Amino acid sequence: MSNLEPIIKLAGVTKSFGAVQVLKGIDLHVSEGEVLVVIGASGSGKSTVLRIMSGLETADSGQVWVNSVPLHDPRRAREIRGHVGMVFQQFNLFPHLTALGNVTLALLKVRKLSAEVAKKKALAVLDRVGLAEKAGNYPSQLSGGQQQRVAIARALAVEPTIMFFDEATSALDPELVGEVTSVMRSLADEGMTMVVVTHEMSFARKTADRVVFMDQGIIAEQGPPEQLFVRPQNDRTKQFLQRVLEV
Amino acid sequence: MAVLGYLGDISEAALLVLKITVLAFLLAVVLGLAAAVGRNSRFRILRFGAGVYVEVIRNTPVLLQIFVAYFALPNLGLNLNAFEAGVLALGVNVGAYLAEVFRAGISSVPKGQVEAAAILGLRSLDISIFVVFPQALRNVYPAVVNYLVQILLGTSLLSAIALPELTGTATTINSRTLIFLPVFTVTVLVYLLLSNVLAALAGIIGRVAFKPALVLPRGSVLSRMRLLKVNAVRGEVNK
Ligand SMILES: Nc1ncnc2c1ncn2[C@@H]1O[C@H](COP(=O)(O)OP(=O)(O)OP(=O)(O)O)[C@@H](O)[C@H]1O
Ligand SMILES: [Mg+2]
Repeated sequence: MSNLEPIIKLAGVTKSFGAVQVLKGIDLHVSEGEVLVVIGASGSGKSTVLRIMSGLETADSGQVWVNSVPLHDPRRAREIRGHVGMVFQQFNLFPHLTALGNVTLALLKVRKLSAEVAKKKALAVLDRVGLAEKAGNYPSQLSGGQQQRVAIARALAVEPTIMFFDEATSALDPELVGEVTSVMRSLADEGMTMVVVTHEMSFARKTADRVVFMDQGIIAEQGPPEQLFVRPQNDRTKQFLQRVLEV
Repeated sequence: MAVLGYLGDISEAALLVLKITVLAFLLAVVLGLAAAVGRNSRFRILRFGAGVYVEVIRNTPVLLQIFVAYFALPNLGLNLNAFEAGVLALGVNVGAYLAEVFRAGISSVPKGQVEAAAILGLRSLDISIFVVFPQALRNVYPAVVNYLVQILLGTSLLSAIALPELTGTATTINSRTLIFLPVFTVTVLVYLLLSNVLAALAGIIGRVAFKPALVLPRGSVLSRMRLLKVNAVRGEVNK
Protein backbone atom coordinates (compact mmCIF):
# COMPACT_ATOMS: atom_id res chain seq x y z
CA MET A 1 0.00 0.00 0.00
CA SER A 2 1.28 3.41 -0.88
CA ASN A 3 1.34 6.36 1.47
CA LEU A 4 0.17 8.72 -1.28
CA GLU A 5 -3.10 10.63 -1.15
CA PRO A 6 -5.96 8.13 -0.87
CA ILE A 7 -7.70 7.54 -4.20
CA ILE A 8 -11.10 7.44 -2.44
CA LYS A 9 -11.96 9.82 0.40
CA LEU A 10 -15.35 10.00 2.08
CA ALA A 11 -15.85 12.50 4.88
CA GLY A 12 -19.07 12.85 6.88
CA VAL A 13 -21.22 11.33 4.13
CA THR A 14 -24.95 11.11 4.87
CA LYS A 15 -27.80 9.93 2.71
CA SER A 16 -31.53 9.60 3.28
CA PHE A 17 -34.25 8.02 1.20
CA GLY A 18 -37.42 9.83 2.19
CA ALA A 19 -37.58 9.92 5.95
CA VAL A 20 -35.09 7.08 6.41
CA GLN A 21 -31.47 8.02 6.98
CA VAL A 22 -29.51 5.22 5.36
CA LEU A 23 -25.99 6.63 5.87
CA LYS A 24 -25.32 8.51 9.07
CA GLY A 25 -21.85 9.92 8.59
CA ILE A 26 -19.37 7.75 6.72
CA ASP A 27 -15.63 8.49 6.87
CA LEU A 28 -13.51 6.25 4.71
CA HIS A 29 -10.17 6.34 2.91
CA VAL A 30 -9.04 3.84 0.30
CA SER A 31 -5.47 3.84 -1.00
CA GLU A 32 -4.39 3.10 -4.52
CA GLY A 33 -4.03 -0.63 -5.04
CA GLU A 34 -5.92 -1.48 -1.88
CA VAL A 35 -8.59 -4.18 -1.77
CA LEU A 36 -11.32 -3.10 0.61
CA VAL A 37 -14.07 -5.54 1.50
CA VAL A 38 -17.32 -4.19 2.93
CA ILE A 39 -19.50 -6.52 4.98
CA GLY A 40 -22.64 -5.96 7.01
CA ALA A 41 -26.25 -6.98 7.42
CA SER A 42 -28.88 -6.41 4.74
CA GLY A 43 -30.00 -2.79 4.72
CA SER A 44 -26.92 -1.50 6.53
CA GLY A 45 -26.10 0.80 3.60
CA LYS A 46 -23.33 -1.10 1.75
CA SER A 47 -24.80 -0.69 -1.73
CA THR A 48 -25.61 2.94 -1.07
CA VAL A 49 -21.97 3.68 -0.20
CA LEU A 50 -20.84 1.92 -3.36
CA ARG A 51 -23.39 3.77 -5.48
CA ILE A 52 -22.25 7.10 -4.05
CA MET A 53 -18.60 6.27 -4.74
CA SER A 54 -19.42 5.35 -8.34
CA GLY A 55 -21.51 8.45 -8.97
CA LEU A 56 -24.86 6.69 -9.34
CA GLU A 57 -26.22 8.39 -6.23
CA THR A 58 -25.38 11.77 -4.67
CA ALA A 59 -24.65 12.23 -0.99
CA ASP A 60 -26.93 14.58 0.96
CA SER A 61 -23.97 16.04 2.85
CA GLY A 62 -20.28 15.43 3.32
CA GLN A 63 -17.44 15.17 0.85
CA VAL A 64 -16.75 12.42 -1.66
CA TRP A 65 -13.48 12.42 -3.59
CA VAL A 66 -12.91 9.59 -6.02
CA ASN A 67 -9.97 9.60 -8.41
CA SER A 68 -9.58 13.36 -7.74
CA VAL A 69 -13.19 14.04 -8.79
CA PRO A 70 -15.36 15.81 -6.19
CA LEU A 71 -18.55 13.76 -6.48
CA HIS A 72 -20.28 16.01 -3.94
CA ASP A 73 -20.15 18.76 -6.58
CA PRO A 74 -23.04 18.04 -8.96
CA ARG A 75 -21.39 20.09 -11.71
CA ARG A 76 -18.31 17.88 -11.72
CA ALA A 77 -19.72 14.49 -10.68
CA ARG A 78 -20.03 13.24 -14.26
CA GLU A 79 -16.27 13.41 -14.69
CA ILE A 80 -16.02 10.07 -12.89
CA ARG A 81 -17.91 8.28 -15.68
CA GLY A 82 -15.71 5.95 -17.63
CA HIS A 83 -13.01 5.98 -14.94
CA VAL A 84 -14.50 3.51 -12.47
CA GLY A 85 -16.01 0.11 -13.13
CA MET A 86 -19.02 -1.40 -11.41
CA VAL A 87 -20.05 -5.04 -11.27
CA PHE A 88 -23.64 -5.58 -10.20
CA GLN A 89 -25.34 -8.44 -8.42
CA GLN A 90 -27.74 -8.84 -11.37
CA PHE A 91 -24.94 -8.53 -13.99
CA ASN A 92 -26.87 -5.87 -15.95
CA LEU A 93 -25.42 -7.12 -19.21
CA PHE A 94 -27.06 -5.70 -22.33
CA PRO A 95 -29.25 -8.63 -23.43
CA HIS A 96 -29.48 -7.53 -27.07
CA LEU A 97 -25.70 -7.52 -27.55
CA THR A 98 -23.28 -10.44 -27.67
CA ALA A 99 -20.52 -10.77 -25.09
CA LEU A 100 -18.28 -9.01 -27.58
CA GLY A 101 -20.91 -6.32 -28.22
CA ASN A 102 -21.25 -5.69 -24.50
CA VAL A 103 -17.52 -5.13 -24.17
CA THR A 104 -17.05 -3.06 -27.32
CA LEU A 105 -19.98 -0.66 -26.82
CA ALA A 106 -18.09 1.77 -24.57
CA LEU A 107 -14.89 1.36 -26.58
CA LEU A 108 -16.77 2.50 -29.68
CA LYS A 109 -19.03 5.18 -28.22
CA VAL A 110 -16.87 6.58 -25.40
CA ARG A 111 -13.31 5.80 -26.42
CA LYS A 112 -14.20 6.29 -30.10
CA LEU A 113 -11.96 3.42 -31.15
CA SER A 114 -12.35 2.00 -34.64
CA ALA A 115 -14.42 -1.17 -34.90
CA GLU A 116 -11.31 -3.20 -35.61
CA VAL A 117 -9.24 -1.91 -32.70
CA ALA A 118 -12.22 -2.13 -30.33
CA LYS A 119 -12.82 -5.75 -31.28
CA LYS A 120 -9.20 -6.71 -30.78
CA LYS A 121 -9.09 -5.03 -27.43
CA ALA A 122 -12.42 -6.55 -26.33
CA LEU A 123 -11.28 -10.03 -27.29
CA ALA A 124 -8.12 -9.54 -25.25
CA VAL A 125 -10.16 -8.56 -22.19
CA LEU A 126 -12.60 -11.44 -22.71
CA ASP A 127 -9.60 -13.74 -22.90
CA ARG A 128 -8.43 -12.38 -19.57
CA VAL A 129 -11.66 -13.62 -17.95
CA GLY A 130 -11.40 -16.88 -19.88
CA LEU A 131 -14.26 -16.22 -22.29
CA ALA A 132 -12.68 -15.35 -25.64
CA GLU A 133 -14.38 -18.33 -27.27
CA LYS A 134 -17.80 -17.18 -26.03
CA ALA A 135 -17.48 -13.74 -27.65
CA GLY A 136 -20.34 -14.41 -30.04
CA ASN A 137 -22.80 -15.60 -27.41
CA TYR A 138 -25.68 -13.50 -26.17
CA PRO A 139 -26.05 -13.21 -22.37
CA SER A 140 -29.03 -15.57 -22.44
CA GLN A 141 -26.72 -18.19 -23.95
CA LEU A 142 -24.24 -17.99 -21.06
CA SER A 143 -24.26 -19.40 -17.53
CA GLY A 144 -24.55 -17.00 -14.60
CA GLY A 145 -20.85 -17.26 -13.86
CA GLN A 146 -19.96 -16.59 -17.48
CA GLN A 147 -22.33 -13.63 -17.62
CA GLN A 148 -20.72 -12.10 -14.55
CA ARG A 149 -17.26 -12.59 -16.04
CA VAL A 150 -18.41 -10.82 -19.21
CA ALA A 151 -19.69 -8.01 -16.98
CA ILE A 152 -16.25 -7.79 -15.38
CA ALA A 153 -14.62 -7.74 -18.82
CA ARG A 154 -17.01 -4.99 -19.94
CA ALA A 155 -15.99 -2.89 -16.95
CA LEU A 156 -12.27 -3.61 -17.37
CA ALA A 157 -12.23 -2.75 -21.07
CA VAL A 158 -12.41 1.00 -20.41
CA GLU A 159 -9.37 0.68 -18.11
CA PRO A 160 -10.90 1.96 -14.89
CA THR A 161 -8.69 3.05 -12.02
CA ILE A 162 -11.07 1.54 -9.45
CA MET A 163 -13.40 -1.45 -9.58
CA PHE A 164 -16.54 -1.69 -7.45
CA PHE A 165 -18.25 -5.04 -6.87
CA ASP A 166 -21.72 -5.12 -5.33
CA GLU A 167 -22.43 -8.70 -4.26
CA ALA A 168 -21.08 -9.92 -7.58
CA THR A 169 -21.55 -13.57 -6.63
CA SER A 170 -24.82 -13.43 -4.69
CA ALA A 171 -27.02 -14.31 -7.68
CA LEU A 172 -24.88 -17.31 -8.67
CA ASP A 173 -25.35 -20.99 -7.99
CA PRO A 174 -22.76 -22.04 -5.38
CA GLU A 175 -20.72 -24.07 -7.87
CA LEU A 176 -20.29 -20.99 -10.10
CA VAL A 177 -19.03 -18.63 -7.38
CA GLY A 178 -15.43 -19.80 -7.65
CA GLU A 179 -14.90 -18.87 -11.30
CA VAL A 180 -15.92 -15.27 -10.53
CA THR A 181 -13.99 -14.87 -7.27
CA SER A 182 -10.87 -16.24 -8.92
CA VAL A 183 -11.09 -13.53 -11.61
CA MET A 184 -11.54 -10.98 -8.81
CA ARG A 185 -8.56 -12.38 -6.96
CA SER A 186 -6.31 -12.17 -10.00
CA LEU A 187 -7.38 -8.54 -10.46
CA ALA A 188 -6.42 -7.86 -6.88
CA ASP A 189 -3.05 -9.54 -7.43
CA GLU A 190 -2.44 -7.26 -10.40
CA GLY A 191 -2.79 -4.26 -8.11
CA MET A 192 -6.28 -3.01 -9.03
CA THR A 193 -7.92 -0.77 -6.45
CA MET A 194 -11.09 -2.60 -5.45
CA VAL A 195 -14.05 -2.00 -3.16
CA VAL A 196 -15.95 -5.24 -2.77
CA VAL A 197 -19.30 -5.74 -1.05
CA THR A 198 -19.64 -9.47 -0.48
CA HIS A 199 -21.02 -12.22 1.68
CA GLU A 200 -18.14 -14.51 0.67
CA MET A 201 -16.19 -14.47 3.91
CA SER A 202 -13.49 -16.74 2.53
CA PHE A 203 -12.84 -14.24 -0.28
CA ALA A 204 -12.68 -11.44 2.29
CA ARG A 205 -10.21 -13.35 4.41
CA LYS A 206 -7.89 -14.34 1.62
CA THR A 207 -7.98 -11.26 -0.56
CA ALA A 208 -8.88 -8.18 1.47
CA ASP A 209 -6.23 -5.75 2.68
CA ARG A 210 -8.84 -4.29 4.98
CA VAL A 211 -12.38 -5.20 5.98
CA VAL A 212 -15.06 -2.67 6.88
CA PHE A 213 -18.10 -3.74 8.89
CA MET A 214 -21.15 -1.54 8.32
CA ASP A 215 -24.04 -1.46 10.73
CA GLN A 216 -27.17 0.69 10.38
CA GLY A 217 -25.56 3.38 8.29
CA ILE A 218 -22.24 3.73 10.07
CA ILE A 219 -18.87 2.02 9.90
CA ALA A 220 -18.94 0.09 13.15
CA GLU A 221 -15.52 -1.49 12.86
CA GLN A 222 -12.66 -1.88 10.42
CA GLY A 223 -9.27 -3.50 10.22
CA PRO A 224 -7.17 -6.12 8.48
CA PRO A 225 -9.07 -9.37 7.94
CA GLU A 226 -7.07 -11.37 10.48
CA GLN A 227 -8.02 -8.83 13.15
CA LEU A 228 -11.66 -8.34 12.18
CA PHE A 229 -12.44 -12.00 11.70
CA VAL A 230 -10.39 -13.41 14.59
CA ARG A 231 -10.61 -10.71 17.26
CA PRO A 232 -13.61 -8.48 16.48
CA GLN A 233 -13.94 -5.70 19.05
CA ASN A 234 -17.49 -4.54 18.41
CA ASP A 235 -20.41 -6.63 19.76
CA ARG A 236 -22.43 -6.09 16.59
CA THR A 237 -19.50 -7.34 14.51
CA LYS A 238 -19.26 -10.44 16.68
CA GLN A 239 -22.98 -11.13 16.31
CA PHE A 240 -22.87 -10.60 12.54
CA LEU A 241 -19.84 -12.85 12.06
CA GLN A 242 -21.36 -15.55 14.24
CA ARG A 243 -24.45 -15.53 12.07
CA VAL A 244 -22.71 -15.61 8.69
CA LEU A 245 -19.93 -18.03 9.63
CA GLU A 246 -22.41 -20.50 11.12
CA VAL A 247 -23.95 -21.33 7.75
CA MET B 1 -69.62 -16.11 -61.24
CA ALA B 2 -70.21 -12.44 -61.94
CA VAL B 3 -67.77 -11.46 -59.20
CA LEU B 4 -64.88 -12.73 -61.33
CA GLY B 5 -65.42 -9.84 -63.70
CA TYR B 6 -64.52 -7.45 -60.91
CA LEU B 7 -61.34 -9.13 -59.71
CA GLY B 8 -59.31 -6.41 -61.42
CA ASP B 9 -61.06 -3.67 -59.42
CA ILE B 10 -60.71 -5.68 -56.24
CA SER B 11 -57.00 -6.35 -56.61
CA GLU B 12 -56.40 -2.71 -57.47
CA ALA B 13 -58.23 -1.75 -54.28
CA ALA B 14 -56.22 -4.29 -52.31
CA LEU B 15 -52.97 -2.81 -53.58
CA LEU B 16 -54.14 0.66 -52.56
CA VAL B 17 -55.01 -0.63 -49.09
CA LEU B 18 -51.56 -2.14 -48.74
CA LYS B 19 -49.88 1.10 -49.82
CA ILE B 20 -51.89 3.22 -47.38
CA THR B 21 -51.29 0.74 -44.57
CA VAL B 22 -47.53 0.67 -44.95
CA LEU B 23 -47.17 4.45 -45.31
CA ALA B 24 -49.54 5.22 -42.43
CA PHE B 25 -47.73 2.68 -40.26
CA LEU B 26 -44.34 4.25 -40.92
CA LEU B 27 -45.79 7.66 -40.07
CA ALA B 28 -47.36 6.22 -36.92
CA VAL B 29 -44.07 4.68 -35.76
CA VAL B 30 -42.20 7.96 -36.22
CA LEU B 31 -44.92 9.99 -34.47
CA GLY B 32 -45.30 7.39 -31.74
CA LEU B 33 -41.57 7.34 -30.98
CA ALA B 34 -41.39 11.13 -31.00
CA ALA B 35 -44.39 11.45 -28.69
CA ALA B 36 -43.08 8.76 -26.34
CA VAL B 37 -39.73 10.52 -26.07
CA GLY B 38 -41.53 13.86 -25.76
CA ARG B 39 -43.65 12.65 -22.86
CA ASN B 40 -40.52 11.59 -20.98
CA SER B 41 -38.64 14.76 -21.88
CA ARG B 42 -36.97 17.16 -19.47
CA PHE B 43 -38.61 20.05 -21.28
CA ARG B 44 -42.10 20.89 -20.14
CA ILE B 45 -43.18 22.24 -23.52
CA LEU B 46 -42.34 18.92 -25.19
CA ARG B 47 -44.14 16.96 -22.47
CA PHE B 48 -47.14 19.23 -22.88
CA GLY B 49 -47.22 19.03 -26.69
CA ALA B 50 -46.89 15.26 -26.73
CA GLY B 51 -49.53 14.94 -24.02
CA VAL B 52 -52.03 17.07 -25.91
CA TYR B 53 -51.45 15.09 -29.12
CA VAL B 54 -51.96 11.73 -27.42
CA GLU B 55 -55.01 12.80 -25.41
CA VAL B 56 -56.82 14.63 -28.21
CA ILE B 57 -56.35 11.80 -30.69
CA ARG B 58 -57.26 9.03 -28.28
CA ASN B 59 -60.44 10.78 -27.20
CA THR B 60 -61.93 11.62 -30.59
CA PRO B 61 -63.35 9.25 -33.24
CA VAL B 62 -61.00 8.24 -36.02
CA LEU B 63 -63.72 8.96 -38.60
CA LEU B 64 -63.81 12.57 -37.42
CA GLN B 65 -60.03 12.75 -37.74
CA ILE B 66 -60.31 11.51 -41.32
CA PHE B 67 -62.89 14.20 -42.11
CA VAL B 68 -60.70 16.87 -40.52
CA ALA B 69 -57.71 15.79 -42.61
CA TYR B 70 -59.74 15.80 -45.84
CA PHE B 71 -62.23 18.64 -45.41
CA ALA B 72 -60.82 20.99 -42.77
CA LEU B 73 -57.08 21.12 -43.51
CA PRO B 74 -57.68 22.91 -46.85
CA ASN B 75 -58.99 25.81 -44.73
CA LEU B 76 -55.47 26.01 -43.32
CA GLY B 77 -54.05 26.02 -46.82
CA LEU B 78 -53.16 22.32 -46.76
CA ASN B 79 -54.82 20.65 -49.73
CA LEU B 80 -54.57 16.87 -49.50
CA ASN B 81 -56.07 14.37 -51.88
CA ALA B 82 -58.04 11.47 -50.40
CA PHE B 83 -54.99 9.19 -50.42
CA GLU B 84 -52.77 11.69 -48.60
CA ALA B 85 -55.49 12.61 -46.14
CA GLY B 86 -56.08 8.92 -45.43
CA VAL B 87 -52.41 8.21 -44.77
CA LEU B 88 -52.12 11.28 -42.56
CA ALA B 89 -55.27 10.60 -40.53
CA LEU B 90 -54.53 6.91 -39.91
CA GLY B 91 -50.85 7.57 -39.19
CA VAL B 92 -51.61 10.36 -36.74
CA ASN B 93 -54.32 8.29 -35.10
CA VAL B 94 -52.30 5.13 -34.55
CA GLY B 95 -49.20 7.19 -33.65
CA ALA B 96 -51.01 8.36 -30.52
CA TYR B 97 -51.66 4.78 -29.46
CA LEU B 98 -48.14 3.69 -30.32
CA ALA B 99 -46.81 6.54 -28.17
CA GLU B 100 -48.29 4.85 -25.13
CA VAL B 101 -47.02 1.46 -26.25
CA PHE B 102 -43.48 2.81 -26.74
CA ARG B 103 -43.62 4.61 -23.41
CA ALA B 104 -44.53 1.38 -21.65
CA GLY B 105 -41.70 -0.29 -23.56
CA ILE B 106 -39.16 2.29 -22.47
CA SER B 107 -40.18 2.01 -18.83
CA SER B 108 -40.00 -1.80 -19.09
CA VAL B 109 -36.22 -1.59 -19.51
CA PRO B 110 -34.64 -2.13 -16.07
CA LYS B 111 -32.92 0.84 -14.45
CA GLY B 112 -29.75 -1.21 -14.04
CA GLN B 113 -29.27 -1.15 -17.82
CA VAL B 114 -29.05 2.63 -17.85
CA GLU B 115 -26.80 2.64 -14.78
CA ALA B 116 -24.39 0.14 -16.28
CA ALA B 117 -24.15 2.20 -19.46
CA ALA B 118 -23.78 5.49 -17.57
CA ILE B 119 -20.88 4.20 -15.49
CA LEU B 120 -19.15 3.10 -18.68
CA GLY B 121 -19.31 6.75 -19.73
CA LEU B 122 -21.98 6.67 -22.45
CA ARG B 123 -23.83 9.93 -23.06
CA SER B 124 -27.56 9.87 -22.46
CA LEU B 125 -28.40 10.02 -26.18
CA ASP B 126 -26.15 7.00 -26.82
CA ILE B 127 -27.74 5.21 -23.87
CA SER B 128 -31.17 5.76 -25.41
CA ILE B 129 -30.16 4.72 -28.91
CA PHE B 130 -27.92 1.75 -28.16
CA VAL B 131 -29.20 0.41 -24.84
CA VAL B 132 -32.80 1.44 -24.11
CA PHE B 133 -34.58 1.65 -27.48
CA PRO B 134 -33.48 -1.74 -28.84
CA GLN B 135 -34.77 -3.46 -25.72
CA ALA B 136 -37.92 -1.33 -25.53
CA LEU B 137 -38.79 -2.01 -29.18
CA ARG B 138 -38.24 -5.71 -28.72
CA ASN B 139 -40.52 -5.76 -25.69
CA VAL B 140 -43.37 -4.04 -27.50
CA TYR B 141 -42.87 -5.47 -30.98
CA PRO B 142 -45.87 -7.86 -30.84
CA ALA B 143 -48.11 -4.99 -29.76
CA VAL B 144 -46.73 -2.76 -32.52
CA VAL B 145 -47.39 -5.42 -35.15
CA ASN B 146 -50.92 -5.59 -33.91
CA TYR B 147 -51.40 -1.91 -34.68
CA LEU B 148 -50.20 -2.58 -38.21
CA VAL B 149 -53.22 -4.86 -38.64
CA GLN B 150 -55.41 -2.20 -37.00
CA ILE B 151 -54.37 0.26 -39.69
CA LEU B 152 -55.12 -2.28 -42.39
CA LEU B 153 -58.67 -2.67 -41.10
CA GLY B 154 -58.96 1.08 -40.49
CA THR B 155 -58.44 1.82 -44.18
CA SER B 156 -62.05 0.71 -44.75
CA LEU B 157 -63.15 3.98 -43.09
CA LEU B 158 -61.54 5.89 -45.94
CA SER B 159 -64.51 4.97 -48.14
CA ALA B 160 -66.13 7.90 -46.30
CA ILE B 161 -63.90 10.28 -48.24
CA ALA B 162 -64.52 8.41 -51.49
CA LEU B 163 -61.19 6.63 -51.65
CA PRO B 164 -61.56 3.48 -53.78
CA GLU B 165 -60.21 1.15 -51.11
CA LEU B 166 -61.38 -2.41 -50.63
CA THR B 167 -64.59 -2.06 -48.60
CA GLY B 168 -65.75 0.93 -50.63
CA THR B 169 -65.01 -0.89 -53.87
CA ALA B 170 -67.00 -3.89 -52.69
CA THR B 171 -69.97 -1.67 -51.90
CA THR B 172 -69.77 -0.01 -55.28
CA ILE B 173 -69.70 -3.36 -57.05
CA ASN B 174 -72.66 -4.47 -54.97
CA SER B 175 -74.78 -1.47 -55.78
CA ARG B 176 -74.11 -2.09 -59.44
CA THR B 177 -74.60 -5.86 -59.52
CA LEU B 178 -76.58 -6.76 -56.36
CA ILE B 179 -74.54 -9.96 -55.86
CA PHE B 180 -73.79 -9.23 -52.21
CA LEU B 181 -72.70 -12.59 -50.87
CA PRO B 182 -70.02 -13.51 -53.43
CA VAL B 183 -68.57 -9.99 -53.40
CA PHE B 184 -68.37 -9.81 -49.62
CA THR B 185 -66.91 -13.32 -49.48
CA VAL B 186 -64.11 -12.37 -51.82
CA THR B 187 -63.57 -9.15 -49.88
CA VAL B 188 -63.26 -11.01 -46.59
CA LEU B 189 -60.77 -13.40 -48.13
CA VAL B 190 -58.67 -10.56 -49.48
CA TYR B 191 -58.56 -8.82 -46.06
CA LEU B 192 -57.51 -12.11 -44.46
CA LEU B 193 -54.83 -12.58 -47.07
CA LEU B 194 -53.50 -9.05 -46.58
CA SER B 195 -53.43 -9.24 -42.79
CA ASN B 196 -51.65 -12.59 -42.89
CA VAL B 197 -49.11 -11.37 -45.41
CA LEU B 198 -48.37 -8.34 -43.22
CA ALA B 199 -48.14 -10.46 -40.07
CA ALA B 200 -45.81 -12.92 -41.79
CA LEU B 201 -43.62 -10.05 -43.00
CA ALA B 202 -43.54 -8.60 -39.50
CA GLY B 203 -42.57 -12.02 -38.18
CA ILE B 204 -39.64 -12.22 -40.58
CA ILE B 205 -38.54 -8.69 -39.68
CA GLY B 206 -38.76 -9.59 -35.98
CA ARG B 207 -36.52 -12.59 -36.48
CA VAL B 208 -33.97 -10.64 -38.48
CA ALA B 209 -33.98 -7.30 -36.69
CA PHE B 210 -33.87 -8.46 -33.09
CA LYS B 211 -31.00 -10.40 -31.55
CA PRO B 212 -31.29 -12.96 -30.17
CA ALA B 213 -34.11 -13.66 -32.64
CA LEU B 214 -37.59 -12.62 -31.57
CA VAL B 215 -40.17 -15.21 -32.51
CA LEU B 216 -43.69 -13.82 -32.73
CA PRO B 217 -46.46 -16.08 -31.50
CA ARG B 218 -48.25 -17.63 -34.43
CA GLY B 219 -51.98 -17.46 -34.83
CA SER B 220 -54.86 -15.27 -35.70
CA VAL B 221 -55.29 -11.58 -35.23
CA LEU B 222 -57.52 -12.46 -32.29
CA SER B 223 -54.83 -14.35 -30.44
CA ARG B 224 -52.41 -11.47 -31.04
CA MET B 225 -55.03 -9.12 -29.56
CA ARG B 226 -54.99 -11.18 -26.41
CA LEU B 227 -51.21 -10.93 -26.27
CA LEU B 228 -51.51 -7.18 -26.62
CA LYS B 229 -53.73 -7.05 -23.56
CA VAL B 230 -51.30 -9.16 -21.55
CA ASN B 231 -48.49 -6.82 -22.55
CA ALA B 232 -50.53 -3.77 -21.62
CA VAL B 233 -51.17 -5.23 -18.19
CA ARG B 234 -47.46 -6.01 -17.78
CA GLY B 235 -46.66 -2.45 -18.78
CA GLU B 236 -48.92 -1.21 -15.98
CA VAL B 237 -47.25 -3.44 -13.43
CA ASN B 238 -43.83 -2.17 -14.44
CA LYS B 239 -44.72 1.46 -13.80
N1 LIG C 1 -33.59 4.14 -4.10
C1 LIG C 1 -34.01 3.88 -2.84
N2 LIG C 1 -35.19 4.35 -2.40
C2 LIG C 1 -35.61 4.12 -1.15
N3 LIG C 1 -34.94 3.40 -0.24
C3 LIG C 1 -33.75 2.88 -0.61
C4 LIG C 1 -33.23 3.08 -1.93
N4 LIG C 1 -32.04 2.46 -2.01
C5 LIG C 1 -31.84 1.88 -0.81
N5 LIG C 1 -32.86 2.14 0.04
C6 LIG C 1 -32.95 1.70 1.44
O1 LIG C 1 -31.76 2.04 2.09
C7 LIG C 1 -31.37 1.05 3.01
C8 LIG C 1 -29.95 0.62 2.72
O2 LIG C 1 -29.92 0.04 1.45
P1 LIG C 1 -28.63 -0.61 0.82
O3 LIG C 1 -29.07 -1.18 -0.48
O4 LIG C 1 -27.52 0.37 0.80
O5 LIG C 1 -28.30 -1.78 1.85
P2 LIG C 1 -27.30 -2.98 1.70
O6 LIG C 1 -26.43 -2.95 2.88
O7 LIG C 1 -26.68 -2.97 0.37
O8 LIG C 1 -28.28 -4.23 1.82
P3 LIG C 1 -28.27 -5.63 1.04
O9 LIG C 1 -27.27 -6.50 1.72
O10 LIG C 1 -29.67 -6.12 1.22
O11 LIG C 1 -27.93 -5.35 -0.38
C9 LIG C 1 -32.37 -0.08 2.88
O12 LIG C 1 -33.28 0.03 3.94
C10 LIG C 1 -33.05 0.19 1.57
O13 LIG C 1 -34.39 -0.22 1.62
MG1 LIG D 1 -26.82 -4.14 -1.37
